[in-house]
Amino acid sequence: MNGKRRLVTGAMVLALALGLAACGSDDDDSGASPDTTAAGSGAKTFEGTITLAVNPWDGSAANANVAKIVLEKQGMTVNLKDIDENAVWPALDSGSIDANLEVWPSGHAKDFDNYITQKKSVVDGGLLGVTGQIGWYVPKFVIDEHPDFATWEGLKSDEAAEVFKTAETGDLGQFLLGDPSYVSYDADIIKNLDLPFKVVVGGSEATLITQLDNAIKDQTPLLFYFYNPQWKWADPEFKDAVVQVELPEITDECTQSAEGQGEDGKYACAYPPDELYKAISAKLETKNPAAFEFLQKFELTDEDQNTITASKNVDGLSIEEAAQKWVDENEATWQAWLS
Amino acid sequence: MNAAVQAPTAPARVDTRRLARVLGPIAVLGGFAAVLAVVWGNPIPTWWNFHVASWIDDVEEWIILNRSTNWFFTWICDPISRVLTDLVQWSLDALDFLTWIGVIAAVVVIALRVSGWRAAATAGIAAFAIGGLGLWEPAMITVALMIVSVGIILLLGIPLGILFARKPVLERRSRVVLDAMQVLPAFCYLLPSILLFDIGYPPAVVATVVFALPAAIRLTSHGLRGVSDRLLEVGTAQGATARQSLWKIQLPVARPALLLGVNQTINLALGVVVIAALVGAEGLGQEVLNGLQTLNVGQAFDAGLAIVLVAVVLDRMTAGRSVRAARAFRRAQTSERIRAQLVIGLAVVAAAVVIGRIVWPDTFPSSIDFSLEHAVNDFVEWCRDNLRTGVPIIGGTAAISDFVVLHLLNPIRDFLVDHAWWQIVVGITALAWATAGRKVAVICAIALMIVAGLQGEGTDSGSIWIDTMDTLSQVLVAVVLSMIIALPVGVVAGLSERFYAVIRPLLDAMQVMPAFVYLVPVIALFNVGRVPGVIASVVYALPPGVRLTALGIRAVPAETLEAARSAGATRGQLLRKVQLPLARRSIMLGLNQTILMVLSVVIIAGLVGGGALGVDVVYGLTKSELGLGVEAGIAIVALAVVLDRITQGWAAGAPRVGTRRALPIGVALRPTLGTGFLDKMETA
Repeated sequence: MNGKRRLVTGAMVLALALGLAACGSDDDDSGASPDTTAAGSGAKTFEGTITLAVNPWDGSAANANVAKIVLEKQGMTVNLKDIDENAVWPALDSGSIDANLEVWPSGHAKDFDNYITQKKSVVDGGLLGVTGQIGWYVPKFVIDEHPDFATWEGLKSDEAAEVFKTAETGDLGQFLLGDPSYVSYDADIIKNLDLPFKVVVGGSEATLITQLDNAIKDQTPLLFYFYNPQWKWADPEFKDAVVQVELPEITDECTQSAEGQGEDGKYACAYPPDELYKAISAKLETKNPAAFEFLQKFELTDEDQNTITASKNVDGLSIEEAAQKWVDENEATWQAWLS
Repeated sequence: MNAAVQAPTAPARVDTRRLARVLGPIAVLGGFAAVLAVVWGNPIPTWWNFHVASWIDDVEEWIILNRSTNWFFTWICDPISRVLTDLVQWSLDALDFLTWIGVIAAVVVIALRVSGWRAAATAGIAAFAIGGLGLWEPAMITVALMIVSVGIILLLGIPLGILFARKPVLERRSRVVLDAMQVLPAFCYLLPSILLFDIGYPPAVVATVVFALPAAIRLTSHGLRGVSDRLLEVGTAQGATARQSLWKIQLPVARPALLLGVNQTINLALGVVVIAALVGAEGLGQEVLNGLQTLNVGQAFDAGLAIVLVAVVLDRMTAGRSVRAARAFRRAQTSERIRAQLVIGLAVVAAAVVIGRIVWPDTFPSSIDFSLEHAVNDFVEWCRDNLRTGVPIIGGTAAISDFVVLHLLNPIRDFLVDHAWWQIVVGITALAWATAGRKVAVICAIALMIVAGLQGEGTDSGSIWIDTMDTLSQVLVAVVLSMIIALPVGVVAGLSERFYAVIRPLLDAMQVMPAFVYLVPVIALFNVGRVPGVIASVVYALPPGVRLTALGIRAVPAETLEAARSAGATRGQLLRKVQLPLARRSIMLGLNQTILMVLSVVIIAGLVGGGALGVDVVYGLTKSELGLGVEAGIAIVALAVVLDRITQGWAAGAPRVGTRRALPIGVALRPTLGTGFLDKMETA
C-alpha cells in the first residue's frame, strides 16, 4: 500500500535527519570559553557566557552591544537576545537572560514589585545613567500659526479643539497615544486640566510615528505623546519639525500620584523624568560575579547613547559598528567598569 | 423546469400550531427581557461579576512567586521546556548540516515523491527564492519550529481525531473548547506561557500547538467519518475487528483528508510565527517585527514574503497528487522502482550536501539577492504621497477614512452602546431564534450573559461590555465591506476558470502574509483610528468569501444550467435565478468564515488604533494585567461563538446543492486557508 511506503520514506528521512543532528551537534560552542586576551585589568577574571536582552529600540541595542564588545575583549562570550520588554522579566527570573540594561521604570512598576521587591529573583542593577522623558508634542507649523498652543493654557480653548479634531473624536481635539503599554497619564491630565481633548490609542509605536510623519508631511495638526531617547530624534529634520508643549510643573501631589502609577486619577502635571535602570538576574551574582559587578558599574550618559544611535541612524552604520566605534573612542569610560 | 429553480412557496393558511410556534418564542423572549430588566437592571449590576480578572491576577501572582519552587514547575514545566528547546535545536542543527543546497534538494526529492513534478519544481524555486531574499537563516529557524510544532500537533491530533470520529458525543462536548482554542488570540496565551515555559522556542511551540491542534483533530475526525458506512459494513461482514477496520479501511480511505489535515495544520501554524518572535523565538517573525520597529515596510514585506514562500514549500511537499495523477502513479509503481527511487533520492540529497559543505559551508551566498525592500518602500511612499488626498471624485483615502468613521462606524457603535445591555442581549437572542433556531438562541444568550459578567476595567471605555459592543460594530462593518467586495469577485471567479486561476495565488498570499506587514502601509493611507483596523480585517478576510462564492457558483450542476438555458433564461437570469440561489449555502459559509477571520484580526486592529477589545488584550498582557487581557480574550471568543452559530444556522437552512459531501461546518478554516484548502476539500 502507498501509505506504508510513505511511512518507510518518512522513517528514512527521520533517521537521516537524526543522524545528521548527531553529527552536527559536536561543533557546539557553549562550553568552551577561550581565555585569550585577559587585558591585564587586575585580579578579576572574565570568563564564561552571559546573555543580555535587546528590547526593540535602538537605545537598548546600543547598551547591549557596548557591553558585549567590552566583555568579549576580556574573553567572555556574550549572547544577545531580541525580546519584548515585558517578556524579559520571567526570563530574568529563571536566569535564561542575565540582564536587561535599559528598563523604563514608569512602564514596569508592577514587574519591579513582583520580581525585585517581593521575590528578589531579579536585582536592581542601579541606574543606567540615561534619563528618559515623556512629553506632549505638536508639529512646528501648528505653533507658527497658533503660538499659544505651545502651553497647556493655550490648548484650553474651543479653538484648540477645533484645530485638532478628527473624525474619531467628534467635537473634541484628538490626543494621540502610541503603545498602550507605555505609562500614560494623559486621560487624567486632560480631565484634571479641563482640556477639550480626547485620547485616541494608536495601539503601537509604529502607528504613532506613521501618523505623525503624515501630519508633518500633509501639514495637518496633531497633538501627540512622544519621548526621548527615541531613534526619531536622530533625524535633524524631525527635530526641527516638532515642538514640545509646556505642561504644569510637577507638584507634590503629582509626584505622589505617579508613585501609585496614577491610579488615584489625580495626575495633572508634566511627566516626571524616567531614570532608566538596569535589571540583573539574581542568579548571575553567584554564577558569574565578575560579570555581575561589571553590569552594575555599566553606565552611559545621554550623550554617549545618542552618539551611538546617531551614528547608526545618521551615518548609516550597523548598531554593532556604531557600538564598536564608541568603544574605540571611549576607552577611559569602559575601563572604569572593569576595575 | 427543474424543481430547484422554483422557490418553494409556503401555503398561506395559518393554523394554530404555527401560531403557537411564533407566539411561544415571543413569550419566552419577553419573559427573558423582563427578568433581565427588573432583576439585573441597567447598567450591568456589580453583583453580576464572575471575577475572572481578579482570579487570573491572583493566579499570575502565585505563579510568579512560586515559579522556582513548586514541583509543578520544576518537575513538569521545566523538563517540557528543555525537551522542546532540544528538539528545535536538533532540527535546526540538521538543517544547518544539510546546507541550503542540501535542504533544497531534499525539498525537491520529497515533493517529487509526494506530489509530482510540478509541485517539486514550484517547491524548489520557492525555497531558492527564500535564500534570494537574504532570509535563509531566519527561515530555517522558522522551519525548525514548524517541524517540531507540527510533529507534536499530529502526534496529538490524529489519535484524538480518531477518538472523536468514533465517539461523536465527545466531539460535540468539546466543541466550545476547540472553538476557544482557535478563536482566542494567540497573544492571550503566548505571553502567559513564558511564565510556565520560559522564553525562546518552548512558548512558541506551545502557542502553535494550542492554536493549530483543533484543526488537526477536526479534519481527522471529519475525514474518518466521511468513510462510507457500506464500506465499513463490508469490512465487518468479512470479520474485520474494530482495529483492523480502522487501520485497513478507515485510515487508508481517509488518507486524502488526513493529508489535507497535515497541510492545513502547517498553514495555521505559520500564523503564529510573527507573534512568537515577541517571546524570543526569533526566525522570520523577528524580521517582520524589526521592519515594523523602524517603519521599514520593505524589510517587513520581504520577511512576510519569505513566510509565504515557506508555506508554499511545505504545502507542495504535503499536498499530494490529484486523484487521477495519483492513480496513474500507483499503477506505475513496482517494488523495484520504489527502491530505485529511494536510492536515487538519497543519492541526490547526499551529493547536494557534499557540494554544499564544500562550496557554501556557511550560508546562502549573499551575491544572489533579489530583495524587494526598496521597491516596496518606494511603492508605499508613492501611495502615501498620491492616494491620501487630491484624488479626483473620491478625494483620497483620508476622505474615505473619515466617511467610514462618520457614516458607518459611529452610527452602529452608538446604536449598540446606547441601548441598555439587556436590550442588546435579548435582541441578539431573538435574532438568533428567528433565523437560526432555538438551540442557537440559547447559546447566544449564554455567551452574551458571560460577557456582561466580565467586569474588569476596559482601557478604552472602562467597561468590557462597551468595548465588546465597539468591537462588534467594527467587526460588522468589516464583514459587510468584505462581502461587498467578495461577492462580485467570487461570482466572476466562479464563472471564469481563467480569472480564478489568476487570483488564486493572490488569495493564498493574502492569507499567509502576516497582517503585521500591512500595519504600517494601512496607517500611512488611512488616518489612525478604527478605519485602518477595518481595512486590515477586510484584506485578511477577503479570500474565504471569494473562494466560497466561486465554489458555490461552480458547484451548480451542469444539467440544471442546461435546463434553465433551454427554458430561455438569459445569462443575467441564469445568474440571478439559478446560480446565486443555489450557491446560497456556500456563500453563507463564506460569510461565516469571513466573520471568524475578521475576529482573528481584532488584536491587529487594536495595534492600528481600533481600540476596544484589541487594545484591552495588548494592554492587559503587556502591563502584567493578565486578568484584563484574558477577560477581553473571553469576550472575543463569546462574540465569535455568537456570530459563528448564527451564520452557521443560516448556512444550514440553505439548500444543499452540488457538493457531494457537505463542507465541514465547524472545521474552522482560518486563519490561513493558505493554499486553496477548499478547492482541495472539494476534490478530495
